[in-house]
Amino acid sequence: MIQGCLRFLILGLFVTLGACTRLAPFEAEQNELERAEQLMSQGKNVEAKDILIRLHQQDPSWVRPKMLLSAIEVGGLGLDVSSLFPLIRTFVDTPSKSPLPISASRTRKSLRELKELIAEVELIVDRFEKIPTVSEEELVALQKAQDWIQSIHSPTPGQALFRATLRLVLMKSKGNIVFLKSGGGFGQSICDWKGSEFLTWISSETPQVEAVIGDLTIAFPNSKANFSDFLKQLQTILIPLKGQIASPNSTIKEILEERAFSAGLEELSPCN
Amino acid sequence: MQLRGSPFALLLLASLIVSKSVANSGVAPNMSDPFRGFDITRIALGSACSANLAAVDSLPCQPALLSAQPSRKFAGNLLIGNEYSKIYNYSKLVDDGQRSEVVQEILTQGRPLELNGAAQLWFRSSNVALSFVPAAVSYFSYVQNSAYPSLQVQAMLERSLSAQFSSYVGEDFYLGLQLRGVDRTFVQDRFDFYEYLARPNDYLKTQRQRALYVEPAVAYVHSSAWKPRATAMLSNIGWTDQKHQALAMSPIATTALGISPPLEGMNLDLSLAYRLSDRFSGEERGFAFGTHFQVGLLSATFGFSQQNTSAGLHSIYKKVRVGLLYQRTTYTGLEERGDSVHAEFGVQL
Repeated sequence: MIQGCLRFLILGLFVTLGACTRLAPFEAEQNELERAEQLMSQGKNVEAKDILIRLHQQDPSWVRPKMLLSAIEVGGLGLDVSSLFPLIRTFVDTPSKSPLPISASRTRKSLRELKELIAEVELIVDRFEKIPTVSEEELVALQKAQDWIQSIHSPTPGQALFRATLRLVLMKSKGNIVFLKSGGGFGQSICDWKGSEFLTWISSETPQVEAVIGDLTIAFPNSKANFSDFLKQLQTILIPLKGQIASPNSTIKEILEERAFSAGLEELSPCN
Repeated sequence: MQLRGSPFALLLLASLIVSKSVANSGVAPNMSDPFRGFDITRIALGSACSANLAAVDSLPCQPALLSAQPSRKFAGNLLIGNEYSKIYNYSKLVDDGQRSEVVQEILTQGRPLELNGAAQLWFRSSNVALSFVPAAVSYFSYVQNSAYPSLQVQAMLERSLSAQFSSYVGEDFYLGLQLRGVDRTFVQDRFDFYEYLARPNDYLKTQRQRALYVEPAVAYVHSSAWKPRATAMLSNIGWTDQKHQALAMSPIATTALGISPPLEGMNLDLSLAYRLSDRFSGEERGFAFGTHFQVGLLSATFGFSQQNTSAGLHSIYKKVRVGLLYQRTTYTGLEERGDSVHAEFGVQL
């Protein structure tokens, strides 16, 4: 019996020694990354950040630590990512549609088309409304989050989507600050926006819009046509507006009414 | 004497030789844990059930012990967990093709969500036991890191047919064998929320696996009043028609020690188990302690392991068995703990 027990103990010792095998270097880094994610889940972002920065310094091409460092910056802002879920789906699911041509001639047909275009833009604005914003003070953290993932050359679809989402939040937050300062904001209909401010803002953000479209195309390659149409639609509304701003305080509604009035077609003013 | 050491040695050596490393799938419980029970006693004891003798009103998880505590019973039982309605809603949404709704629900839930439920018919005699499980459901989901959410979801519907054989081979030794045929449909995924948004059709795919497990066991039960005993079992070995990492055939060696102090008018069982496998995460791999206590119509079971703390109470009155189990689960690397309550209803025929 004693001999049997001894054999049992010796075998147990071998078993334990066998279990304590040394980890491969990459496995050790993976475990560190896993630990950082767990710390993030526990809200211990400072400790998690230390680990992630160390991993990033060891291998700057490793994408995951960058994504998580970006997420740590975003995490402090309390952004509700689940609120973006329906927004992104509607944006992607919209069937591809050819942009509406805006004719230079002031005909009844072109105004009808303009009205449809305004409705289209209002739909975009409505979606844009659902994007969360951060305050001016929080913009720094958001910009840091953006910087971490800016350098990813071949993002996965999800990483591209995350980057696009951050860009949208950043873009909207910047715009919101400008509009709020002049007494407006994105809560208003596009018709109530001041044409000059809208143009200034959208012109400054055009590279960002293009970058967002680029990332969304990586995330949803099947919806590429939708995104190209969106850019074209944006240009079709911007180009005629540019030449229409008589006063810097004119709203888009006033600009369009002016156009309809001069054509003798007030009843078709798109903002009515 | 030669006979006494060799069954343990063979089982443990076999385990060392055939064990292979299987990646740990995050914090989720192991989907093919051979000690996953379908009644309160077995769930509460965890792997410590492998040295339990007193719980004769359920199937032993260690087939060699079947002959060590002869009993003849035919019973059916139903086990339902507290999150049943929520999981039922999820399955309805998945059936209706609304997987995104489920993902959104999981995303807002915040804490680990776990459920087990099963229906079982079983028969045991002194040498043979049979068990048919027409449906066993297990579910686990968890969202890690809300800023860049990573979701872990596993859900499984399993049907199984098991047979246990046991025989006394002399000198207080028992040999046992368990054959389990399992047909399971499951979803097992760990993914970033943003990856899901971009490619919803690439995730939460339903998979199927059929497996046959052949699990040998040996037990030494000293024929004295305290019934000191040692058991060993090799489980999770056999064949599958489809290979899946989460359900890989990877041997698990479980050794256990137990005693049953003789007490007047009551039964008490104490057991300590240790299991070894690369398959499990650290907490699941280690020690488990369990005790089963019976006085009259009432039975109480307590189980402690690095992962679970369980307390179960059940009673059999006029062949009807009712029970309640509370379990607190600690997940690897998480501060959140999962609390679950299970109810059991059974009839002994």
